[in-house]
Amino acid sequence: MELFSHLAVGFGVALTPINLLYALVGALLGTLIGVLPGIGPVATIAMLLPTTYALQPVSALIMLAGIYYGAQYGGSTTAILVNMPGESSSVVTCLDGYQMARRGQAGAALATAALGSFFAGTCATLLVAAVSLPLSALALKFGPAEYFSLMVLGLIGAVVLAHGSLVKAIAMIILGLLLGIVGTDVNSGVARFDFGIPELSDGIGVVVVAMGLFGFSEIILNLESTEKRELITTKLRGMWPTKAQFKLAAPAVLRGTALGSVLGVLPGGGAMLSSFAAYSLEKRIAKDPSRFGKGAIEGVAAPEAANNAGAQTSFIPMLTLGIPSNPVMALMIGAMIIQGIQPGPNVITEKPELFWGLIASMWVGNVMLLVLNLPMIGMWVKFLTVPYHVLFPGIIAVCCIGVYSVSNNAFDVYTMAFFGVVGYVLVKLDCEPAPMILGFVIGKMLEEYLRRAMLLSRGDPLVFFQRPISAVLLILAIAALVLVLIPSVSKKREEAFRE
Amino acid sequence: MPRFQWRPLFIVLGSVVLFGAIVRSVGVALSTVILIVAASAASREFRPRESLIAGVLLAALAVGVFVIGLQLQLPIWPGQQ
Repeated sequence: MELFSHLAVGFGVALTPINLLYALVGALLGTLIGVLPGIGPVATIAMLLPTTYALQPVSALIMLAGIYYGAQYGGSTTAILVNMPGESSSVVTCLDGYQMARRGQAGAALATAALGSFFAGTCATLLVAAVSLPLSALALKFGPAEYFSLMVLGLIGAVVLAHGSLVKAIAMIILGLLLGIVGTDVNSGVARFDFGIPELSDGIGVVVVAMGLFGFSEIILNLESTEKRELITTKLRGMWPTKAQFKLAAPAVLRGTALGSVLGVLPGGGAMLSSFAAYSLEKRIAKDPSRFGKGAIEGVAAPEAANNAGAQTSFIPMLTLGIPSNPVMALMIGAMIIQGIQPGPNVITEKPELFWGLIASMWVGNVMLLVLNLPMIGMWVKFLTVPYHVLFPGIIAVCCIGVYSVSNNAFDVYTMAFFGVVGYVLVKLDCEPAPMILGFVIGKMLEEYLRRAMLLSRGDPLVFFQRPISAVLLILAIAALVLVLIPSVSKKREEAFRE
Repeated sequence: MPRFQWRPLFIVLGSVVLFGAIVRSVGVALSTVILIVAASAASREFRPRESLIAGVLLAALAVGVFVIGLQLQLPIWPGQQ
Protein backbone atom coordinates (compact mmCIF):
# COMPACT_ATOMS: atom_id res chain seq x y z
CA MET A 1 0.00 0.00 0.00
CA GLU A 2 1.29 3.36 -1.04
CA LEU A 3 -0.39 5.02 1.90
CA PHE A 4 1.63 3.04 4.41
CA SER A 5 4.95 3.88 2.84
CA HIS A 6 3.95 7.54 2.94
CA LEU A 7 2.98 7.23 6.57
CA ALA A 8 6.29 5.53 7.26
CA VAL A 9 8.06 8.56 5.82
CA GLY A 10 5.83 10.75 7.96
CA PHE A 11 6.58 8.89 11.17
CA GLY A 12 10.25 9.02 10.31
CA VAL A 13 9.97 12.80 10.37
CA ALA A 14 7.54 13.09 13.27
CA LEU A 15 9.54 10.82 15.57
CA THR A 16 12.82 12.70 15.36
CA PRO A 17 13.67 14.12 18.79
CA ILE A 18 13.31 17.74 17.73
CA ASN A 19 9.88 17.22 16.17
CA LEU A 20 8.73 15.15 19.12
CA LEU A 21 9.74 18.08 21.29
CA TYR A 22 7.75 20.59 19.24
CA ALA A 23 4.74 18.26 19.12
CA LEU A 24 4.95 18.12 22.92
CA VAL A 25 5.28 21.89 23.19
CA GLY A 26 2.24 22.29 20.94
CA ALA A 27 0.22 19.73 22.88
CA LEU A 28 1.16 21.30 26.22
CA LEU A 29 0.38 24.82 25.08
CA GLY A 30 -2.83 23.66 23.44
CA THR A 31 -4.02 21.92 26.59
CA LEU A 32 -3.07 24.94 28.68
CA ILE A 33 -4.96 27.48 26.61
CA GLY A 34 -7.76 24.97 26.20
CA VAL A 35 -8.11 24.72 29.96
CA LEU A 36 -7.89 28.49 30.48
CA PRO A 37 -11.06 30.29 29.50
CA GLY A 38 -10.55 33.58 27.74
CA ILE A 39 -7.77 32.62 25.39
CA GLY A 40 -8.39 30.57 22.30
CA PRO A 41 -6.29 28.73 19.72
CA VAL A 42 -6.52 31.51 17.12
CA ALA A 43 -5.00 34.10 19.43
CA THR A 44 -2.36 31.65 20.66
CA ILE A 45 -1.30 30.55 17.20
CA ALA A 46 -1.14 34.19 16.11
CA MET A 47 0.98 34.94 19.19
CA LEU A 48 3.41 32.15 18.39
CA LEU A 49 3.64 32.71 14.64
CA PRO A 50 6.49 35.23 14.98
CA THR A 51 8.51 32.71 17.00
CA THR A 52 8.31 30.14 14.20
CA TYR A 53 10.63 32.15 11.94
CA ALA A 54 13.56 30.53 13.67
CA LEU A 55 12.22 26.97 13.35
CA GLN A 56 12.31 24.38 10.61
CA PRO A 57 9.06 24.46 8.58
CA VAL A 58 7.97 20.97 9.72
CA SER A 59 8.63 21.72 13.37
CA ALA A 60 6.75 25.02 13.14
CA LEU A 61 3.66 23.44 11.60
CA ILE A 62 3.75 20.48 13.98
CA MET A 63 3.76 22.82 16.96
CA LEU A 64 1.01 25.09 15.65
CA ALA A 65 -1.20 22.13 14.71
CA GLY A 66 -0.69 20.68 18.19
CA ILE A 67 -2.04 23.87 19.72
CA TYR A 68 -5.29 23.56 17.77
CA TYR A 69 -6.15 19.97 18.55
CA GLY A 70 -4.60 20.20 22.02
CA ALA A 71 -7.08 22.96 22.81
CA GLN A 72 -9.91 20.54 22.04
CA TYR A 73 -8.67 18.21 24.77
CA GLY A 74 -8.09 20.95 27.31
CA GLY A 75 -11.39 22.71 26.71
CA SER A 76 -13.42 19.78 27.99
CA THR A 77 -11.66 19.79 31.39
CA THR A 78 -12.84 23.31 32.21
CA ALA A 79 -16.28 22.62 30.79
CA ILE A 80 -16.75 19.57 33.01
CA LEU A 81 -15.19 20.89 36.22
CA VAL A 82 -16.10 24.58 36.13
CA ASN A 83 -19.20 24.66 33.93
CA MET A 84 -17.45 27.20 31.77
CA PRO A 85 -16.21 26.50 28.26
CA GLY A 86 -12.41 26.61 28.22
CA GLU A 87 -12.79 26.69 24.47
CA SER A 88 -15.71 27.76 22.30
CA SER A 89 -15.91 24.21 20.95
CA SER A 90 -16.61 22.89 24.45
CA VAL A 91 -19.69 25.01 25.07
CA VAL A 92 -22.04 22.06 24.72
CA THR A 93 -19.86 19.82 26.88
CA CYS A 94 -20.78 22.04 29.84
CA LEU A 95 -24.42 21.02 29.61
CA ASP A 96 -24.00 17.39 30.58
CA GLY A 97 -20.37 17.25 31.65
CA TYR A 98 -20.87 19.63 34.58
CA GLN A 99 -23.98 17.79 35.67
CA MET A 100 -22.01 14.54 35.70
CA ALA A 101 -19.32 16.24 37.79
CA ARG A 102 -21.89 17.48 40.30
CA ARG A 103 -23.06 13.93 40.76
CA GLY A 104 -19.54 12.81 41.53
CA GLN A 105 -18.89 11.39 38.07
CA ALA A 106 -16.31 13.98 37.06
CA GLY A 107 -13.71 11.27 36.51
CA ALA A 108 -15.93 9.30 34.19
CA ALA A 109 -16.82 12.42 32.22
CA LEU A 110 -13.17 13.47 31.85
CA ALA A 111 -12.09 9.98 30.81
CA THR A 112 -14.91 9.74 28.28
CA ALA A 113 -13.97 13.10 26.82
CA ALA A 114 -10.26 12.24 26.55
CA LEU A 115 -10.76 8.71 25.20
CA GLY A 116 -13.44 9.88 22.78
CA SER A 117 -11.16 12.65 21.57
CA PHE A 118 -8.32 10.20 21.11
CA PHE A 119 -10.44 7.75 19.12
CA ALA A 120 -11.77 10.59 16.96
CA GLY A 121 -8.28 12.01 16.49
CA THR A 122 -6.93 8.66 15.34
CA CYS A 123 -9.74 8.11 12.84
CA ALA A 124 -9.55 11.66 11.54
CA THR A 125 -5.77 11.46 11.08
CA LEU A 126 -6.19 8.31 8.99
CA LEU A 127 -8.90 10.04 7.01
CA VAL A 128 -6.67 13.05 6.33
CA ALA A 129 -3.92 10.70 5.13
CA ALA A 130 -6.24 8.66 2.92
CA VAL A 131 -8.10 11.57 1.34
CA SER A 132 -5.15 13.87 0.74
CA LEU A 133 -3.49 11.97 -2.10
CA PRO A 134 -6.50 11.64 -4.43
CA LEU A 135 -7.69 15.15 -3.55
CA SER A 136 -4.42 16.84 -4.36
CA ALA A 137 -4.16 14.78 -7.56
CA LEU A 138 -7.56 16.17 -8.50
CA ALA A 139 -6.51 19.67 -7.47
CA LEU A 140 -3.50 19.52 -9.78
CA LYS A 141 -5.95 19.46 -12.69
CA PHE A 142 -7.42 22.74 -11.46
CA GLY A 143 -6.78 25.83 -13.53
CA PRO A 144 -7.25 29.40 -12.34
CA ALA A 145 -10.97 29.28 -13.13
CA GLU A 146 -11.51 26.22 -10.93
CA TYR A 147 -9.54 27.78 -8.09
CA PHE A 148 -11.53 30.96 -8.29
CA SER A 149 -14.83 29.06 -8.18
CA LEU A 150 -13.60 26.88 -5.34
CA MET A 151 -12.70 29.95 -3.28
CA VAL A 152 -16.08 31.50 -4.00
CA LEU A 153 -17.72 28.28 -2.82
CA GLY A 154 -15.51 28.32 0.26
CA LEU A 155 -16.44 31.89 1.14
CA ILE A 156 -20.15 31.27 0.56
CA GLY A 157 -19.88 28.17 2.73
CA ALA A 158 -18.35 30.24 5.50
CA VAL A 159 -21.27 32.67 5.23
CA VAL A 160 -23.87 29.92 5.33
CA LEU A 161 -22.34 28.26 8.36
CA ALA A 162 -21.67 31.49 10.27
CA HIS A 163 -23.88 32.38 13.22
CA GLY A 164 -26.42 35.12 13.07
CA SER A 165 -27.27 37.45 10.26
CA LEU A 166 -26.37 36.45 6.69
CA VAL A 167 -25.98 40.04 5.61
CA LYS A 168 -23.48 40.69 8.39
CA ALA A 169 -21.48 37.59 7.48
CA ILE A 170 -21.32 38.65 3.83
CA ALA A 171 -20.30 42.15 4.90
CA MET A 172 -17.51 40.65 7.01
CA ILE A 173 -16.24 38.57 4.09
CA ILE A 174 -16.17 41.59 1.79
CA LEU A 175 -14.42 43.69 4.42
CA GLY A 176 -11.84 40.91 4.75
CA LEU A 177 -11.37 40.66 0.98
CA LEU A 178 -10.80 44.41 0.77
CA LEU A 179 -8.30 44.38 3.63
CA GLY A 180 -6.54 41.50 1.91
CA ILE A 181 -5.76 43.50 -1.21
CA VAL A 182 -4.23 46.43 0.63
CA GLY A 183 -0.72 47.03 -0.67
CA THR A 184 1.13 46.97 -3.94
CA ASP A 185 -0.68 45.28 -6.81
CA VAL A 186 1.54 42.47 -8.11
CA ASN A 187 0.60 42.96 -11.73
CA SER A 188 0.70 46.70 -12.18
CA GLY A 189 2.80 47.83 -9.21
CA VAL A 190 0.15 50.33 -8.19
CA ALA A 191 -0.22 50.87 -4.45
CA ARG A 192 -3.80 50.28 -3.34
CA PHE A 193 -5.60 51.50 -0.20
CA ASP A 194 -2.32 52.47 1.43
CA PHE A 195 -3.24 56.11 2.22
CA GLY A 196 0.33 57.01 1.31
CA ILE A 197 1.69 55.10 4.31
CA PRO A 198 4.87 53.33 3.18
CA GLU A 199 4.42 50.51 5.75
CA LEU A 200 1.19 49.49 4.06
CA SER A 201 2.74 48.99 0.65
CA ASP A 202 3.56 45.38 1.54
CA GLY A 203 0.04 44.77 2.73
CA ILE A 204 -1.12 44.02 6.27
CA GLY A 205 0.31 40.95 8.01
CA VAL A 206 -2.07 38.15 8.92
CA VAL A 207 -0.51 37.92 12.40
CA VAL A 208 -1.25 41.56 13.11
CA VAL A 209 -4.87 41.24 12.04
CA ALA A 210 -5.46 37.94 13.84
CA MET A 211 -3.94 39.14 17.12
CA GLY A 212 -5.99 42.30 17.08
CA LEU A 213 -9.25 40.70 16.02
CA PHE A 214 -9.07 37.60 18.17
CA GLY A 215 -6.54 38.29 20.90
CA PHE A 216 -7.12 41.87 21.99
CA SER A 217 -10.85 42.09 21.50
CA GLU A 218 -11.20 38.85 23.48
CA ILE A 219 -9.17 40.34 26.35
CA ILE A 220 -11.15 43.56 26.41
CA LEU A 221 -14.45 41.68 26.38
CA ASN A 222 -13.27 39.41 29.19
CA LEU A 223 -12.31 42.44 31.28
CA GLU A 224 -15.85 43.74 31.02
CA SER A 225 -17.32 40.77 32.80
CA THR A 226 -16.35 40.01 36.37
CA GLU A 227 -14.34 36.91 37.11
CA LYS A 228 -16.23 34.09 38.73
CA ARG A 229 -15.13 30.52 38.76
CA GLU A 230 -16.59 27.71 40.77
CA LEU A 231 -14.32 24.75 40.72
CA ILE A 232 -15.58 21.34 41.67
CA THR A 233 -12.86 20.40 44.08
CA THR A 234 -13.95 16.90 45.02
CA LYS A 235 -11.16 14.43 44.62
CA LEU A 236 -11.23 12.77 41.26
CA ARG A 237 -11.88 9.23 42.33
CA GLY A 238 -13.15 6.55 39.97
CA MET A 239 -11.64 7.73 36.71
CA TRP A 240 -13.25 5.02 34.64
CA PRO A 241 -16.77 4.99 33.32
CA THR A 242 -18.95 2.04 34.34
CA LYS A 243 -19.81 -0.69 31.85
CA ALA A 244 -23.28 0.71 31.33
CA GLN A 245 -21.87 4.19 30.68
CA PHE A 246 -19.32 2.77 28.29
CA LYS A 247 -22.08 1.06 26.31
CA LEU A 248 -23.88 4.39 25.94
CA ALA A 249 -20.76 6.39 25.18
CA ALA A 250 -19.08 4.17 22.58
CA PRO A 251 -21.71 4.52 19.82
CA ALA A 252 -21.98 8.25 20.59
CA VAL A 253 -18.23 8.59 20.06
CA LEU A 254 -18.57 6.82 16.71
CA ARG A 255 -21.38 9.12 15.59
CA GLY A 256 -19.53 12.19 16.83
CA THR A 257 -16.37 11.14 14.99
CA ALA A 258 -18.24 10.61 11.73
CA LEU A 259 -20.15 13.88 11.96
CA GLY A 260 -17.12 15.88 13.06
CA SER A 261 -14.97 14.46 10.27
CA VAL A 262 -17.46 15.61 7.65
CA LEU A 263 -18.18 19.03 9.18
CA GLY A 264 -14.50 19.77 9.70
CA VAL A 265 -13.85 19.73 5.97
CA LEU A 266 -16.60 22.22 5.19
CA PRO A 267 -15.60 25.85 4.81
CA GLY A 268 -16.54 27.72 7.96
CA GLY A 269 -16.57 24.40 9.77
CA GLY A 270 -14.07 23.01 12.20
CA ALA A 271 -14.19 22.13 15.85
CA MET A 272 -16.97 24.38 17.10
CA LEU A 273 -19.61 23.61 14.50
CA SER A 274 -18.87 19.89 14.84
CA SER A 275 -19.47 19.82 18.57
CA PHE A 276 -22.77 21.71 18.35
CA ALA A 277 -24.04 19.47 15.56
CA ALA A 278 -23.00 16.30 17.39
CA TYR A 279 -24.83 17.34 20.55
CA SER A 280 -28.08 18.08 18.77
CA LEU A 281 -27.82 14.81 16.83
CA GLU A 282 -27.43 12.85 20.07
CA LYS A 283 -30.40 14.62 21.61
CA ARG A 284 -32.55 13.94 18.58
CA ILE A 285 -31.86 10.23 18.30
CA ALA A 286 -31.84 9.46 22.04
CA LYS A 287 -34.63 7.22 23.34
CA ASP A 288 -35.14 9.56 26.25
CA PRO A 289 -34.08 13.10 25.28
CA SER A 290 -35.04 14.44 28.70
CA ARG A 291 -31.86 12.93 30.17
CA PHE A 292 -29.82 15.53 28.29
CA GLY A 293 -28.78 18.47 30.40
CA LYS A 294 -28.93 16.24 33.46
CA GLY A 295 -25.70 14.35 33.02
CA ALA A 296 -26.14 12.15 29.94
CA ILE A 297 -22.78 10.66 29.06
CA GLU A 298 -23.54 10.77 25.32
CA GLY A 299 -23.75 14.54 25.67
CA VAL A 300 -20.08 14.55 26.65
CA ALA A 301 -18.81 11.75 24.43
CA ALA A 302 -20.25 12.84 21.08
CA PRO A 303 -19.34 16.54 21.04
CA GLU A 304 -15.86 15.93 22.41
CA ALA A 305 -15.18 13.30 19.75
CA ALA A 306 -16.68 15.56 17.12
CA ASN A 307 -14.65 18.65 17.95
CA ASN A 308 -11.38 16.78 17.80
CA ALA A 309 -12.33 15.03 14.55
CA GLY A 310 -13.41 18.37 13.08
CA ALA A 311 -10.23 20.10 14.19
CA GLN A 312 -8.20 17.45 12.43
CA THR A 313 -10.13 17.09 9.17
CA SER A 314 -10.18 20.87 8.72
CA PHE A 315 -6.56 20.40 7.69
CA ILE A 316 -7.69 18.59 4.53
CA PRO A 317 -8.66 21.62 2.40
CA MET A 318 -5.70 23.58 3.75
CA LEU A 319 -3.15 20.90 2.98
CA THR A 320 -4.49 19.70 -0.37
CA LEU A 321 -5.96 22.84 -1.90
CA GLY A 322 -4.22 25.61 0.00
CA ILE A 323 -7.60 27.02 1.02
CA PRO A 324 -8.36 27.76 4.69
CA SER A 325 -11.69 26.58 6.06
CA ASN A 326 -11.47 28.44 9.38
CA PRO A 327 -9.36 31.14 11.06
CA VAL A 328 -6.89 28.62 12.49
CA MET A 329 -6.22 27.25 9.01
CA ALA A 330 -5.86 30.80 7.72
CA LEU A 331 -3.02 31.23 10.22
CA MET A 332 -1.49 27.88 9.25
CA ILE A 333 -1.37 29.16 5.68
CA GLY A 334 0.26 32.31 7.00
CA ALA A 335 2.84 30.15 8.78
CA MET A 336 3.62 28.23 5.58
CA ILE A 337 4.05 31.43 3.60
CA ILE A 338 6.39 32.79 6.31
CA GLN A 339 8.48 29.66 5.74
CA GLY A 340 8.49 30.24 1.99
CA ILE A 341 6.12 27.38 1.18
CA GLN A 342 3.27 28.10 -1.21
CA PRO A 343 0.30 26.14 0.14
CA GLY A 344 -1.55 24.08 -2.44
CA PRO A 345 -1.68 20.67 -4.11
CA ASN A 346 2.03 20.81 -4.93
CA VAL A 347 3.09 20.59 -1.30
CA ILE A 348 2.34 16.87 -1.14
CA THR A 349 4.69 16.05 -4.03
CA GLU A 350 7.33 18.72 -3.56
CA LYS A 351 7.62 18.48 0.21
CA PRO A 352 6.47 14.97 1.10
CA GLU A 353 8.42 14.94 4.36
CA LEU A 354 6.65 18.11 5.50
CA PHE A 355 3.25 16.87 4.46
CA TRP A 356 3.39 13.34 5.86
CA GLY A 357 5.45 14.47 8.83
CA LEU A 358 2.68 16.86 9.84
CA ILE A 359 0.01 14.19 9.45
CA ALA A 360 1.98 11.58 11.40
CA SER A 361 2.65 14.15 14.12
CA MET A 362 -1.08 14.61 14.57
CA TRP A 363 -1.39 11.04 15.73
CA VAL A 364 1.74 11.31 17.86
CA GLY A 365 0.31 14.48 19.35
CA ASN A 366 -2.96 12.73 20.16
CA VAL A 367 -1.09 10.01 22.05
CA MET A 368 0.76 12.69 24.02
CA LEU A 369 -2.49 14.47 24.77
CA LEU A 370 -4.10 11.33 26.09
CA VAL A 371 -1.20 10.94 28.52
CA LEU A 372 -1.20 14.64 29.37
CA ASN A 373 -4.91 14.74 30.03
CA LEU A 374 -5.73 11.54 31.84
CA PRO A 375 -3.11 10.97 34.52
CA MET A 376 -2.05 14.60 34.79
CA ILE A 377 -5.45 16.19 34.97
CA GLY A 378 -4.81 17.53 38.46
CA MET A 379 -1.98 19.70 37.23
CA TRP A 380 -4.15 21.37 34.58
CA VAL A 381 -6.89 22.03 37.09
CA LYS A 382 -4.37 23.95 39.19
CA PHE A 383 -3.84 26.36 36.31
CA LEU A 384 -7.45 27.38 36.67
CA THR A 385 -6.56 29.03 39.95
CA VAL A 386 -4.41 31.58 38.10
CA PRO A 387 -6.64 34.66 38.08
CA TYR A 388 -7.33 36.39 34.80
CA HIS A 389 -6.01 39.75 36.00
CA VAL A 390 -2.56 38.18 36.28
CA LEU A 391 -2.87 36.34 32.98
CA PHE A 392 -4.04 38.97 30.52
CA PRO A 393 -1.15 41.47 30.78
CA GLY A 394 1.19 38.61 29.94
CA ILE A 395 -0.81 37.73 26.84
CA ILE A 396 -0.71 41.36 25.74
CA ALA A 397 3.05 41.51 26.30
CA VAL A 398 3.75 38.38 24.24
CA CYS A 399 1.58 39.74 21.40
CA CYS A 400 3.39 43.08 21.42
CA ILE A 401 6.92 41.67 21.55
CA GLY A 402 6.07 39.05 18.93
CA VAL A 403 4.63 41.52 16.47
CA TYR A 404 7.42 44.00 17.02
CA SER A 405 10.09 41.33 16.52
CA VAL A 406 8.79 40.41 13.06
CA SER A 407 9.63 43.71 11.42
CA ASN A 408 11.29 45.78 14.16
CA ASN A 409 8.71 48.36 13.29
CA ALA A 410 6.34 49.98 15.79
CA PHE A 411 3.83 50.54 12.99
CA ASP A 412 2.78 46.88 13.21
CA VAL A 413 2.12 47.29 16.93
CA TYR A 414 -0.16 50.25 16.24
CA THR A 415 -1.94 48.36 13.47
CA MET A 416 -2.53 45.51 15.87
CA ALA A 417 -4.06 47.92 18.40
CA PHE A 418 -6.24 49.31 15.63
CA PHE A 419 -7.56 45.85 14.78
CA GLY A 420 -8.17 45.33 18.48
CA VAL A 421 -10.65 48.22 18.34
CA VAL A 422 -12.13 46.84 15.11
CA GLY A 423 -12.57 43.39 16.64
CA TYR A 424 -14.17 44.79 19.78
CA VAL A 425 -16.64 46.94 17.87
CA LEU A 426 -17.50 44.04 15.53
CA VAL A 427 -18.28 41.69 18.39
CA LYS A 428 -20.43 44.39 20.01
CA LEU A 429 -22.32 44.72 16.73
CA ASP A 430 -22.84 40.92 16.55
CA CYS A 431 -20.56 40.61 13.53
CA GLU A 432 -18.40 37.51 13.61
CA PRO A 433 -14.73 38.17 12.89
CA ALA A 434 -14.14 34.61 11.59
CA PRO A 435 -15.47 35.15 8.04
CA MET A 436 -13.48 38.37 7.89
CA ILE A 437 -10.14 36.69 8.48
CA LEU A 438 -11.01 34.04 5.88
CA GLY A 439 -11.77 36.77 3.37
CA PHE A 440 -8.57 38.53 4.37
CA VAL A 441 -6.37 35.50 3.68
CA ILE A 442 -8.21 34.47 0.53
CA GLY A 443 -8.51 38.01 -0.87
CA LYS A 444 -5.19 38.20 -2.71
CA MET A 445 -5.39 34.62 -4.01
CA LEU A 446 -8.95 35.13 -5.19
CA GLU A 447 -8.00 38.22 -7.12
CA GLU A 448 -4.94 36.56 -8.61
CA TYR A 449 -6.91 33.54 -9.88
CA LEU A 450 -9.71 35.74 -11.18
CA ARG A 451 -7.22 37.75 -13.20
CA ARG A 452 -5.41 34.72 -14.55
CA ALA A 453 -8.65 33.03 -15.55
CA MET A 454 -9.85 36.17 -17.31
CA LEU A 455 -6.49 36.53 -19.05
CA LEU A 456 -6.65 32.97 -20.35
CA SER A 457 -10.21 33.44 -21.57
CA ARG A 458 -9.36 36.80 -23.14
CA GLY A 459 -11.73 38.64 -20.86
CA ASP A 460 -14.72 36.34 -21.23
CA PRO A 461 -16.36 35.85 -17.80
CA LEU A 462 -18.34 32.88 -19.12
CA VAL A 463 -15.20 30.77 -18.71
CA PHE A 464 -16.25 30.06 -15.12
CA PHE A 465 -19.34 28.28 -16.39
CA GLN A 466 -17.79 26.67 -19.46
CA ARG A 467 -15.28 24.58 -17.56
CA PRO A 468 -17.22 21.72 -15.96
CA ILE A 469 -15.56 21.54 -12.52
CA SER A 470 -15.71 25.31 -12.13
CA ALA A 471 -19.36 25.36 -13.20
CA VAL A 472 -20.30 22.67 -10.66
CA LEU A 473 -18.51 24.54 -7.86
CA LEU A 474 -20.23 27.82 -8.70
CA ILE A 475 -23.64 26.14 -8.97
CA LEU A 476 -23.06 24.58 -5.55
CA ALA A 477 -22.21 28.02 -4.17
CA ILE A 478 -25.35 29.57 -5.65
CA ALA A 479 -27.46 26.64 -4.43
CA ALA A 480 -26.09 27.01 -0.89
CA LEU A 481 -26.88 30.70 -0.88
CA VAL A 482 -30.39 30.25 -2.30
CA LEU A 483 -31.06 27.46 0.16
CA VAL A 484 -30.43 29.57 3.24
CA LEU A 485 -32.49 32.40 1.82
CA ILE A 486 -35.59 30.17 1.66
CA PRO A 487 -37.60 31.26 4.73
CA SER A 488 -38.26 27.80 6.18
CA VAL A 489 -34.63 26.79 5.90
CA SER A 490 -33.36 30.03 7.38
CA LYS A 491 -35.66 29.53 10.36
CA LYS A 492 -34.19 26.06 10.88
CA ARG A 493 -30.70 27.54 10.63
CA GLU A 494 -31.47 30.02 13.37
CA GLU A 495 -32.85 27.26 15.58
CA ALA A 496 -29.80 25.10 14.99
CA PHE A 497 -27.45 27.85 16.12
CA ARG A 498 -29.50 28.81 19.14
CA GLU A 499 -29.16 25.35 20.61
CA MET B 1 -27.11 50.21 20.49
CA PRO B 2 -24.76 47.85 22.33
CA ARG B 3 -23.05 49.09 25.47
CA PHE B 4 -19.41 49.93 25.12
CA GLN B 5 -17.09 49.97 28.08
CA TRP B 6 -14.39 52.44 27.35
CA ARG B 7 -12.09 51.91 30.31
CA PRO B 8 -10.62 48.49 29.46
CA LEU B 9 -10.59 49.34 25.76
CA PHE B 10 -8.60 52.52 26.25
CA ILE B 11 -6.21 51.20 28.88
CA VAL B 12 -5.40 47.97 27.04
CA LEU B 13 -4.90 49.56 23.65
CA GLY B 14 -3.29 52.67 25.10
CA SER B 15 -0.66 50.57 26.82
CA VAL B 16 -0.02 48.72 23.55
CA VAL B 17 0.47 51.99 21.67
CA LEU B 18 2.75 53.21 24.47
CA PHE B 19 4.83 50.04 24.08
CA GLY B 20 5.13 50.66 20.35
CA ALA B 21 6.22 54.24 20.97
CA ILE B 22 8.97 53.52 23.48
CA VAL B 23 10.29 50.05 22.61
CA ARG B 24 12.85 51.28 20.10
CA SER B 25 14.51 53.76 22.42
CA VAL B 26 14.02 52.06 25.79
CA GLY B 27 14.49 48.42 24.79
CA VAL B 28 12.34 45.34 25.25
CA ALA B 29 13.10 44.77 28.94
CA LEU B 30 11.90 48.09 30.34
CA SER B 31 9.07 48.61 27.88
CA THR B 32 7.64 45.17 28.72
CA VAL B 33 7.56 46.03 32.43
CA ILE B 34 5.85 49.33 31.65
CA LEU B 35 3.40 47.62 29.29
CA ILE B 36 2.40 45.01 31.86
CA VAL B 37 1.92 47.49 34.70
CA ALA B 38 -0.06 49.84 32.44
CA ALA B 39 -2.23 47.08 30.97
CA SER B 40 -2.95 45.61 34.42
CA ALA B 41 -4.73 48.85 35.32
CA ALA B 42 -7.51 47.79 32.95
CA SER B 43 -8.65 45.15 35.41
CA ARG B 44 -10.89 45.91 38.37
CA GLU B 45 -8.47 43.96 40.54
CA PHE B 46 -5.45 46.14 39.84
CA ARG B 47 -2.71 45.88 42.46
CA PRO B 48 0.29 47.99 41.45
CA ARG B 49 2.95 46.12 43.41
CA GLU B 50 1.77 42.70 42.26
CA SER B 51 1.73 43.71 38.62
CA LEU B 52 5.18 45.27 38.94
CA ILE B 53 6.55 41.92 40.14
CA ALA B 54 4.66 40.10 37.39
CA GLY B 55 6.03 42.61 34.89
CA VAL B 56 9.66 42.09 35.91
CA LEU B 57 9.29 38.30 35.83
CA LEU B 58 7.57 38.31 32.46
CA ALA B 59 10.04 40.76 30.98
CA ALA B 60 12.90 38.50 32.03
CA LEU B 61 11.10 35.51 30.54
CA ALA B 62 10.34 37.39 27.33
CA VAL B 63 13.95 38.49 26.88
CA GLY B 64 15.05 34.93 27.60
CA VAL B 65 12.69 33.35 25.09
CA PHE B 66 12.65 35.89 22.28
CA VAL B 67 16.14 37.37 22.34
CA ILE B 68 18.30 34.59 23.77
CA GLY B 69 16.23 31.52 22.88
CA LEU B 70 14.98 32.48 19.43
CA GLN B 71 17.84 34.89 18.69
CA LEU B 72 15.58 37.63 17.40
CA GLN B 73 17.31 40.93 16.80
CA LEU B 74 15.71 43.15 19.42
CA PRO B 75 17.11 45.93 21.55
CA ILE B 76 17.06 44.82 25.20
CA TRP B 77 18.31 47.89 27.05
CA PRO B 78 17.98 51.65 26.42
CA GLY B 79 20.23 53.14 23.79
CA GLN B 80 20.92 50.01 21.79
CA GLN B 81 19.28 51.33 18.66
